[in-house]
Amino acid sequence: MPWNGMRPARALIAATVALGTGLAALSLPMAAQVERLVAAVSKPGTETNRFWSGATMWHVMDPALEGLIEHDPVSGEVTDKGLAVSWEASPDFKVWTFKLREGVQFHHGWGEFTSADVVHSYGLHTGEDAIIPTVDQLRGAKAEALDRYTVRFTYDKPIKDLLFLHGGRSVMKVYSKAQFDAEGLEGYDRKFAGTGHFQFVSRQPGQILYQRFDSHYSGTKSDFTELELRFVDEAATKLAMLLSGEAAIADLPRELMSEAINAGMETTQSARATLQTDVVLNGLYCETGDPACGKDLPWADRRIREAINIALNRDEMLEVLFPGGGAELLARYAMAPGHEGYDPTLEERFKTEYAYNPERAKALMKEAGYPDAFPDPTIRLVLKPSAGVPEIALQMELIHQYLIAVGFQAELREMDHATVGAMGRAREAYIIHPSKNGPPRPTEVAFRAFYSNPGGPYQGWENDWTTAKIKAFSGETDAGKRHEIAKEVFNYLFEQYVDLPMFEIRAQLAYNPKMVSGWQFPGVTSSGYGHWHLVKAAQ
Amino acid sequence: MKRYLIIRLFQSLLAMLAISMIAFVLSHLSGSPVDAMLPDDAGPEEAERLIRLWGLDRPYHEQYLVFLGNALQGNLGDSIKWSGQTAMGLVLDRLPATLQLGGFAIIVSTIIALPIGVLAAVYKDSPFDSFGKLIALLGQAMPNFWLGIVLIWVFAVTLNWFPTSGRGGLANMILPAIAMGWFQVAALMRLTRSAMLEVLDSEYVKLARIKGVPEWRVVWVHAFRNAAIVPLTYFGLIAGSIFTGSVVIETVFAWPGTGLLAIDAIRGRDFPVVQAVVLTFAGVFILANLIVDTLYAYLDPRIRYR
Repeated sequence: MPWNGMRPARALIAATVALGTGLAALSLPMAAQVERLVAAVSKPGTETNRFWSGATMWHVMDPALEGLIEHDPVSGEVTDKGLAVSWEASPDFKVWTFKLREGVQFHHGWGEFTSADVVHSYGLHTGEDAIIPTVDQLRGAKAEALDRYTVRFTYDKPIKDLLFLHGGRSVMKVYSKAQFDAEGLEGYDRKFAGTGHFQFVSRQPGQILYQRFDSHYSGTKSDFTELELRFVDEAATKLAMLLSGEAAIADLPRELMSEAINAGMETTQSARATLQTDVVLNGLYCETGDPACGKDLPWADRRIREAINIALNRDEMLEVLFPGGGAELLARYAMAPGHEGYDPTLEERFKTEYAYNPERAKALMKEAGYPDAFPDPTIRLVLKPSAGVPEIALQMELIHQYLIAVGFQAELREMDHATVGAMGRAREAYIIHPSKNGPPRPTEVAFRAFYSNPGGPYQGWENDWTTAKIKAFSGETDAGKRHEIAKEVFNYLFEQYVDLPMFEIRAQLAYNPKMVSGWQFPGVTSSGYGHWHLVKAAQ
Repeated sequence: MKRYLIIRLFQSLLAMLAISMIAFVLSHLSGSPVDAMLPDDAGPEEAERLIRLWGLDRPYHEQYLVFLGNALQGNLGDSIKWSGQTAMGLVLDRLPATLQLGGFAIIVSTIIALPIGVLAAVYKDSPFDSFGKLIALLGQAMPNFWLGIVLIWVFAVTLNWFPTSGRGGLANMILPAIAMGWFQVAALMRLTRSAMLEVLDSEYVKLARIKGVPEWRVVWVHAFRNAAIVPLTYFGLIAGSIFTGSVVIETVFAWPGTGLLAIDAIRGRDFPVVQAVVLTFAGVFILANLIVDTLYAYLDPRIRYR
C-alpha cells in the first residue's frame, strides 16, 4: 500500500511515539493496587452536568447517571436489571408503560427514585435547550406517573424504538426531582444526584471526579473507591499517561493500540459492535424535479459508484486501520443484526460483489466514459474528523490512494464536521465524506437519517424509489411486512452501491494490567463504553 | 509623556473595538453552531428550533449590536456548548491556567535567553557562541507540538521525572513551559546577542574600558542596560505568541487553559466563547504592548508623540 499520502505531522508524531514506546517499555513502572481509578478519555463534546443539553458525554456521565433501560455487559442485550424492571407497549406502539424498581436511592441523600423523577427528567430532556441525539424522537409524549412506581408515555404516533432510545441510545438520564425542587438547575451544576454506581464529587476543566456509591440497588460495588476521568484529546499524550502509570485505562485510537500492547498493556472491547462507518457519496438528491440533484457528478453513475467501491482493498484497510482487532468489514451501512430488514445473504454477496478488483474498476470507468464523459471528473474526498473514530483520517488517506491507483482524479481536502454539516443542510454537499452510525440505529431512524428527503445533513442518497419504499415502511405497523420492505430497501441500496460501507467497530480500550485486570461492557450509546463499576482491579 | 500615554490608550480602545468586529464577523462566517452541535440524525426541524433558540435567525448587524451592547456591560453572552455557563465565566475560569503556564514560560525563556545572548556576544565566535547558535537553531526549527511530545516521552514516560500532562504543581509546568518557551529562547537570545554586539562596539563602552571599569560592570551595567531595549520591545510580541502557542501546547499537555478552550469553542462554533477568548487574548496582548511602549518611552526620552 502506498504511504506517500500520509501527512507529515502525523508521520512525525507516529515515529516519535513508536520510538518513545520502545524506550518506555524498558522503564515501565511497577504499579501497586490503586484506590483511585484514573482513566484518560477523549474529551466529551460538552463539559456540563446538564446531560440533556450536551453532546457526546455518555462515557463521562455514565458512572453517575442511569437511563431507564439497562444492557447486559456480556451479551449486550436489554435486561430488566436497571431502573425499569418491566415494560409494555400498546399494539400500535403509541403507549408505553414502564414499571420501575422500588427502593432505589439517589446520591447525596436526595431520597428514593420514583415515577415523578422519570416525568421530571423527561421534561428536562425534551425542553427547549435539549440537543442530545435523537431528542426529536423522544419528544411529543405525554408523560404520566400512574403510581409511585409506574410511568406511562403516550405518543400520537407509533414509537417502535423507545427501548432503543432509553437503552442503546440512552438519550434520557434520570435526575432527582427532589433536588431540582430544592436547588433548581444550579443545584445540578454544583453537585447533581443520579442513581449510578458512582456519585459526583467535583468537576474541573478537563477532569471529573466520582466516588463509589455503596448503596447502589444492584448490591455490586466497584473495586475502586474513586474514579477520575481526565479528558485528553491528543492520542500520544493518552498513551504516555498509560505507559507512565498516570492512567490505568485509556481510550486510544486503534493505530496506537499495537504500540500499547508492545509496551505491555492489554486491551478490552465491547460485547457488541458500537459503531458502523461508511463513506457517503453525497449530493445525489435526485428525486424527480429536485434542482439540487448532482446529476453531473461522476458518482451519479452507478458504474462509477461500483468502481469506487471495488477499487478499495478493504481487507488491507482493516489490517492497517485496526491492527489490534475490534473491527470487521461491514456489508451494508445502517443494516444491523436484530434490526428490521436485516438480510444475512448480503453479508455473503458482499464478499464477491464488493471485493477488491482494480481491473474491473478500470473497466467500469472506461465503460462509463470516465473521465471525458463528465464535466468535472474530480472525485472530491473530504477528510472530516469524527468523534470516537480517530481512524477516519487515515482511512480517507488510504481511499484517496486507492482511487488514484485505478485512475480516478481524486483530491483530498480537510473539512471539519460542522462545515460538512452546513453543506448538507444547504443540500450542496457534492463531496464524498465519512459518516458513522453509532450505536447502530434502528432501521427506521437510520432510513430517515441517511436515505430520506430531507434526512440528516450527512446523507446523500435520495430517489423516488427509495423515498416511496421508506414511506411505506414507516406507515406500516405489521412487523412481518415492515421487515420485508426494509429488506427490499437494503438490497436495493446494496445493488446500487449508494455509498462505501466500511467497518463495524467495537469500542476498544487499553489498560495497564498492573492496575486493572479486566473490564466487560456491553457497547451501547454513541461513546460505546461505560459501566465503569465493572472495571476489575489487578490483584 | 502624559500626552503619549493618553494617545496610546485611545489607540488601544480603538483596536479592541476593531477586534470585536473582526472576531464577530469571522466567527459567524465560519459556520453555524447548529452544524457542530447537532447529531448526525437530527432533522431540519431540530436545526430550525436551535437557530431560533440561539437567536441566529436575526440579521448579522442586529446580532452584532446586541453583542456589543452586552459586551460593554461586561456580558459576552451564555455559552452554547457549555450549557449553564457564561462565555466570560468560562474564559475567566481557564485564564489563570494559561497565565500561569505562559508566565512561567516567559520567565524560563528570559532566564535562559538573556545570559546566553549576552555571553554569546561577549565571547563572539567562541564555542559558547556556537552553542548559543545551536540552541537558537533548534528552537526556531522544531515545531512546538513535536517538541512537546518528545519531552513527554523522554522525561515523563521513560525517565519518570515529570508528569505527562494535566495541571498541577510546578512539576506539571516544566515540560509544557519548555515546549512553549524554547522558540522564544531562540528569538530572544538572537536579539540580545545582536543588540549587545552593537553596543559593545560603541564609543562609551570603549571609554568605560579605558577608564578601567571592571569588565563585568562594562558588560552587565553599561552595555546590557542599553542593549536591553531591543529584547524588551520583543516582550510585547512574546505575550501574544505565548497565547497563540498555548493553543497547541495546551492540547498536547491536556492543560485546561484558554488555548484548549479556544479550540473547543471554535470546533463547536460557540460564538460567545470564541468572541470572549479572542477579546481576552487581544486585551492581554494590547495591555502587554501598552506596558512595553510605556517602558520604552521611559527608557528612551526621544520617543514621544508630537
